[in-house]
Amino acid sequence: MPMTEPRRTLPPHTRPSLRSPAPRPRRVAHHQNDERGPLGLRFATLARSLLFGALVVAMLSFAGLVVKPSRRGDVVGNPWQSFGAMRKNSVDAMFFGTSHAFTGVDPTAVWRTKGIPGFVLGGPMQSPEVTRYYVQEAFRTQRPKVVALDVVGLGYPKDRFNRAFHQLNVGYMPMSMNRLRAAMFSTPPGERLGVTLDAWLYHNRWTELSADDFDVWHKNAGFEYLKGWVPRPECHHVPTKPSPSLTREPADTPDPDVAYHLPALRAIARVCREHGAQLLLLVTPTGPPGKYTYYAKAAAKVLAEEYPNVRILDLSAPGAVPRLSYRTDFADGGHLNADGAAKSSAVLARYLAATYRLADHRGEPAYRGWDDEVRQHDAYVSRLKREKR
Amino acid sequence: MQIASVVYLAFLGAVAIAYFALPGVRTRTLLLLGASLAFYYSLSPRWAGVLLLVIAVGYVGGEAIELAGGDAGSRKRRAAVFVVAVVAILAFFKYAGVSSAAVNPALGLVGMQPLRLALPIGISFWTFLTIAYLVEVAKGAVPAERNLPRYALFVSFFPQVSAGPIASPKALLPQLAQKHRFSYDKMQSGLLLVAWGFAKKLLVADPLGVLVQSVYHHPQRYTGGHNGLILGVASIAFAVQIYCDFSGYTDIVRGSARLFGIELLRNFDRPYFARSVKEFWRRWHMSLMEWLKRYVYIPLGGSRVPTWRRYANILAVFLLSGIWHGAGLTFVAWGVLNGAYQVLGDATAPLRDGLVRILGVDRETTLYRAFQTALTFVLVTMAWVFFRAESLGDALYILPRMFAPTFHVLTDGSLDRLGLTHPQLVAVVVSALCVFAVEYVATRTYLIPFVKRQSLPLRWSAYLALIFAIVVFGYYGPAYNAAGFAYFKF
Repeated sequence: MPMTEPRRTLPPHTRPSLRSPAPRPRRVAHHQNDERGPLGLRFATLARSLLFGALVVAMLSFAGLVVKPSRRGDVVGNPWQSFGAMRKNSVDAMFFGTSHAFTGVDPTAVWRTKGIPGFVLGGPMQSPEVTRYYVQEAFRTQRPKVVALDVVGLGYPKDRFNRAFHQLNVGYMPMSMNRLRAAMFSTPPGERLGVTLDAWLYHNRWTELSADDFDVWHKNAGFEYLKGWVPRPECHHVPTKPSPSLTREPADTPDPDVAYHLPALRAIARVCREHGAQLLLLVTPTGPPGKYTYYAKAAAKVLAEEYPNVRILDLSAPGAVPRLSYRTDFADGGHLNADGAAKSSAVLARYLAATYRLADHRGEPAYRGWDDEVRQHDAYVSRLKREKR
Repeated sequence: MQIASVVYLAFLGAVAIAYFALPGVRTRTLLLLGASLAFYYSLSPRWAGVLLLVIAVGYVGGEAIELAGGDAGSRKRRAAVFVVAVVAILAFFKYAGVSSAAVNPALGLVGMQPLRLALPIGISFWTFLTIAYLVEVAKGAVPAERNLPRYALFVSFFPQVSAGPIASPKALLPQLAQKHRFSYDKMQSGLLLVAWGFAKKLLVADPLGVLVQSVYHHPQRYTGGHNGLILGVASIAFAVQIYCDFSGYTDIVRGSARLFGIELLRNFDRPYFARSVKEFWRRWHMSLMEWLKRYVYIPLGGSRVPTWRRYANILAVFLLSGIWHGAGLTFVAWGVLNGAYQVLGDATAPLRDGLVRILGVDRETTLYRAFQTALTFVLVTMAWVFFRAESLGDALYILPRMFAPTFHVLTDGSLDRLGLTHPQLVAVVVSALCVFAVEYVATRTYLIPFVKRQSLPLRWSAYLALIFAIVVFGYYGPAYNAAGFAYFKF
């Protein structure tokens, strides 16, 4: 019966316990004269606490690197590893945006056509609210003269959110203030921690770890020669009848979806201007043609007054890419396959060279590595197509 | 805001920093009160008004009792009025949900809107706290608290508002009136306690909850002759789960309060090391049992009555405990069974003593003590079956089958099909063994001083290992809908 007084061998306040505060009168006299910092703590204690905190952060960061799934340059979601391998300030054109950017723009084709060094930093279903931080982060190590933004994200409804894609888009950014900003300002509250702390998000993978996961410095390395492009070998027959979006003219007041993204779009334009880069609104080929043209026009119209130099390149208009086949050059309804990307990127390269007078770097000693990378790229694409067949 | 979450840790850290940055008791009280109300609002936005109502009733009640001066009869009568009011609020919100399910069809027939009543989180705890306060004021054991913010903080103090421990007014109110100086040692031991609570919750309780749920949701899948032992495994898992869940929560709560210099009551004293059910209940949910003893058992006459009345009192207390935990018949059965264990234990004590004498058993041998501990665990686990089962029928199905000697289920991979993978199962078993090992060591030594005596590298290694285990092996995250603490619903 529980109601009688419990038998105790020790008074309650002195019973052995994990939880009871320690009976400890063990103050050392010489401490009393030590220099003290905030809250009356000795500086040594404060320093020890800070060191312990740093150790915790280091340990959890390392754990995060281990449990975070490996993503190399040939798969969707981690262009940053390859981007980090680029020589500093070696890129003249950068391409940002959604899957339409990383499947439809092949920097090797741009290089091969006009000798313009470029890189694609795109992510699946990436919203402009995340892209703005991609642009800011990219400018920390590169000084592109042209920033091409794929406009598909401008049409995403406000409530469109894909957790897995968002975790890739933000979670694979290098740890930096821009990643923290993307986590804080472009991520729903319940998802913020996950895209900030890798250990928190991926810890459940501990049951499936292999030896490769512990090779944290090399696990994501490889395929840097693709320059952020993710080639698709499939073939898909797409509609050829132009979309109404092709001829739709933007109203004076942008529709709600576009309006929602305007702050991010303006931020991208501002960052480009601050770094002396030109902003290009890019529409990659789609089936049906012109599916996203409206968004480019709506965005350009809004920016026109403040950023008059912003241009549109609509490669989705019928005939914009010579010899583009709606039977063989698409991987699915919206994305180009490797052949389509090569054709489209060649047109893009000619446009960049003609419009922005970007220099041809082929043959320059500093870009000698590109020739070798072109060969690796071609071998990879051939193999991909062969495997598909 | 879940207690076992990073958001809570950030909230706790921010409040602690602000607390020690403020100069006086008054401003600190207001800070803690604001934080407590905000915390409760985040937990239960719809029912925060009920908490405020109970605070108001308790405060006015305390003042009214004090106004009666030294007239003991008047103080008692006034206390009774306000206690009845608090009990009415508790009964309405705790049991109206059940009754609304019964009356809603009738309301629908006459075209009325159905009642939508849910349980305000922690209502059983803060109403019991208020009753304790009113009774103690009526007895003159504590003066009525004139300072409204301090009184409101006493009832709503954020670490304990959701699931206790049910504080003693005598112990907590004076602490809230004090100015606490920053203490590095308290901070350190508080954080250690919080981390230990997280470990119990995330490494043991939550993963075991998955296993228990998968079995208890469809117990009929397991038959006695075929794989009945899985029911036994799940029942043992639940016994461990509920302990690690509730005691883990209590550790987080007590550690959190310690950061502000406030000591809350212990709620658990290694209950599964108890050698009898009676002893178990002295060590389990100690604040509730103390409350029931003080405000139910002793007023009913306690032990100073004829034997049959004493037994009736014990049964009444445990029946009340069952009803307090929930309105279902399973809780009533759980309470009565625990009461019956104790009555039977007491009634058969002479018989058992005689048997032990005849057999010449030495009661102080390790083997005998281990036998007693194991038997107590089995009895308590059998009672937990009623607590956890989704219906009385399920419980009665599980009980006779959980001992079926189908030992092959332990090795044929059956356990890996209960919601946890094999590595997760191994991790949870190892974690649970670590928890009980540490608690066993704590029976022999003062643990925190023991830890502090170790060299810095050893201590830091232990702390880092604990944090690493929680973060990496813990059962939490987006893929998992974090289970609330089991005791929040009471």
